[in-house]
Amino acid sequence: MMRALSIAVTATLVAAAGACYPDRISDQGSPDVVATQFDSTANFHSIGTFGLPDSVVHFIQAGQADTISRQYDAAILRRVRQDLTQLGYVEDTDPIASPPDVVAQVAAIATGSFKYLSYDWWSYWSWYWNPWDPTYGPDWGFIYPPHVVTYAYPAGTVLVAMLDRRSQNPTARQIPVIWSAALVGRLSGSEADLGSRIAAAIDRAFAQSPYLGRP
Amino acid sequence: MTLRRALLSALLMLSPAVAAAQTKLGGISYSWSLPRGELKGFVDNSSRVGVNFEGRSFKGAHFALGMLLGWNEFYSRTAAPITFANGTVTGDQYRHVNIFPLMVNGNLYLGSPGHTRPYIGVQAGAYYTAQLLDLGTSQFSSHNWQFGLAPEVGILIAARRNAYAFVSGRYHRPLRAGDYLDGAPRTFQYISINVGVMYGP
Repeated sequence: MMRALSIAVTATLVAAAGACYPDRISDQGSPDVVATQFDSTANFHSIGTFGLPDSVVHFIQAGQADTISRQYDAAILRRVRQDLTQLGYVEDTDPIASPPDVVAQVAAIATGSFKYLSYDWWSYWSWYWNPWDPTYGPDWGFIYPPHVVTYAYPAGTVLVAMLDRRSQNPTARQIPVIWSAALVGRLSGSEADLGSRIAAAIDRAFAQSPYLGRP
Repeated sequence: MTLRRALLSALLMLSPAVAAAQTKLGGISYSWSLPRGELKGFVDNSSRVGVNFEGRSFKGAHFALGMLLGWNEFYSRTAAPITFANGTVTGDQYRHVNIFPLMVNGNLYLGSPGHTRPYIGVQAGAYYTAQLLDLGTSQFSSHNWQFGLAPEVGILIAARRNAYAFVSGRYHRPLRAGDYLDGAPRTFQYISINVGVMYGP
């Protein structure tokens, strides 16, 4: 009897240690994960205008090629513009004449895992910022709110970051990122309805951020 | 079963000498579990996957010391938002928790040896908890050891010579400790209903 019991114990431990995960999501399962983070001290209700650079910047690691299609870039920008407008914010299309309160930067991670929180901002975005305010330069950078989760997003992730010019710090050369959204791995999909799924993911990023918008 | 064997079994079940002679018992039980508290917050599904291996040694007619090695598995799929202090994550998730209690126990049996005997007891020992979260195609996991207690009530049913059936209920309560996926100590509590058999030498 003790021998049988020992065999049963061993068999159960082996089965459990074998990490059987019933009903687990397969690698081909839905990758529609949307993560949003925000600065709880920011005043989102008082934002009046936003700037939206007219290109989706692709983050490419040194020595690697961009493998992400630009097929959906225009649609992504249209959707972000639409959602920001629906929140009551007004697009500023002439930042030289009147700088916007916030700037929504849209990017895509094109290669490997990219350390979104520590990349070289100026080398990717100077083309947008420098023409309308030459005081910005390579010594400027982001500052994130406390408790932001550090995560290396995979290739295909679409990122939207809202930079608050109203509370930038010229002395420290820092612009606060008061909201960010990551559509994790979304552009790596190959579904026939990928365009509509990207749009739905952008909508979800705004929908799960109820603190955004004018009162 | 022949009439002769049935009568013999009945006589053995009624014999006080049978259980009194069984000072040591070993057995196995199926365990159905219901998550409570913070475990229910992570996996809101009952568990149909569980097993215990138990041994008990009687010290006199009414008291037994014992050991337990168990496994209870909880899992669910959900798209419920994960909200934290400065953000939200949404998307398809697979949540999975394996809990392995490794306990010693003391039990007080009512009634007399050889008869059906209700009992109460308490388990004390270690819980090993493996927590897994699949979020889209990303995986996150944590592994923790923590001390815990599990009060228990049950009934031991004399079935045949050297053989017993039992039913018990336990409230597993690990003490708050560890470093779980949200970076905080947790206490993953659950109720288990156990149905099994025990044998003596």
